[in-house]
Amino acid sequence: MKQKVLIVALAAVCLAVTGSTVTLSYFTDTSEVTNSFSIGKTDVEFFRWYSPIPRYYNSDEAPGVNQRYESWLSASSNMLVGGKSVALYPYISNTGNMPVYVRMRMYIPSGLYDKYVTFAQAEGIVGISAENQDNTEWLRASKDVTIEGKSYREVTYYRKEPLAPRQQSSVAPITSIGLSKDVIGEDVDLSGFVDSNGKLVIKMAADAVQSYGFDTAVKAFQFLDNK
Amino acid sequence: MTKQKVLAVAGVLGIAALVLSAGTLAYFTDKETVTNTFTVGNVDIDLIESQFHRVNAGVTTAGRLSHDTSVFPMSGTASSAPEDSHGWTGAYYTDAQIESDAATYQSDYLANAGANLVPGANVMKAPYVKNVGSVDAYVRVRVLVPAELDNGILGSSMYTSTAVSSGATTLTTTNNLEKDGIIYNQYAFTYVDPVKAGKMTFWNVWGDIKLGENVTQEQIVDLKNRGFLTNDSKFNVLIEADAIQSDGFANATDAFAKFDK
Repeated sequence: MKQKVLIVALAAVCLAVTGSTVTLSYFTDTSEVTNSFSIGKTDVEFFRWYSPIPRYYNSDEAPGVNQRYESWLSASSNMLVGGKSVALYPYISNTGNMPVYVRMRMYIPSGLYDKYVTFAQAEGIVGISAENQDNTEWLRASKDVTIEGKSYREVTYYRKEPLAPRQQSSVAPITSIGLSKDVIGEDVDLSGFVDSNGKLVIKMAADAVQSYGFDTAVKAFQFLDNK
Repeated sequence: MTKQKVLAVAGVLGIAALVLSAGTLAYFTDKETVTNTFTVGNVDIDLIESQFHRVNAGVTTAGRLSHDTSVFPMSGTASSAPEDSHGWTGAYYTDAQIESDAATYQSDYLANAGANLVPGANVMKAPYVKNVGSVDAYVRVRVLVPAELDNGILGSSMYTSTAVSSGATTLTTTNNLEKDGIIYNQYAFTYVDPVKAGKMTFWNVWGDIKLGENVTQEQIVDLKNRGFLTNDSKFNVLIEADAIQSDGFANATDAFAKFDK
């Protein structure tokens, strides 16, 4: 080891001598690469219209579509009475940059569900456990939930296939919401569900989750819900 | 690549892996909500009574009260009657005139005219229905006359025949209908046309209540004894109005079939 130390010491001296007499005598190089990773973005738009929507709407357009629908919905000609339905076609567009599974959830007050509030569903939709799911874009599930102390029936539609970026759901799972003819008469009290201005609110939500890493939409959302 | 660089890159990857494994939102998600606010229409009517017969019918009928149009001029001019009059072309009392009179009908008119009836006296009783709801509605007015009195006692009371003959209303009579322990004969007038939101029926289906000219004191005592008049000789003629949304029904008959179901 003593010998090695000596050799290293001598070499260091030589270098020092050379360095002191010649400027810029070292050839150097630096090689770099930049690894730019693109982070996926999950972003969807949820909007409604009063008829089937013919094309994809992006993030800039969707709010305007919703506003126009709400304006249409508030017209007196679209006032709900017993036995009357009002058109409601909900869609989701994928405005992010990665494939996503999507679902729509609709909240109907429990006292009105399946009795007084009616909604027309697209043909072919089956439950999430149905054996044959070939002929539908959406799968349906429903359950009772409580939100802020109020009971609702949550009706969920899962889109079977992921939505690709810039893709929009093609078939609206529902096409209208209405009131059953059974509300006509004095024995049905809607006052607990309708405010003093006669407004009945039915909320809907659309969720999206990356499709990567999940086999099906139902599994993806079940995983998320359980978290 | 030098060993040092390899180690450095490996170090960066290690840090990245640690960051990812420590993150709680490992899955990218998004959520959007919308609120669908539906306006639910309501059916709401006011039943009002006035001493004004819409077209002042009975003016020429001997022994009946009517209004001197020089004192109570009719503001509705000939040929200006609304469509639901079904062809009325003469003068008429307007909605505003009728509503104004209705405001004091009970206190100023009926309290006096309806007290201490004597044989041959009649009391103007013209019912109208105003649609104060938000949707068009089919309307029906039912006049219930105590069955025991619906003969010579009150049998000369008059409904508005033109309201029926013009086709504006249909009349269905049901005898011996029990209500709250009293038996009535019911005259149900169904308006053929929906009454639009904010509007009032054109025709008053009833005109007056008249005590028969030949009613005797003995008959009154007998009615009292049998409980058809109160001890102070009062009786009630009921007027009730029904309404049902017109939307979704082909006609008033179908609508009230649902109503009565």
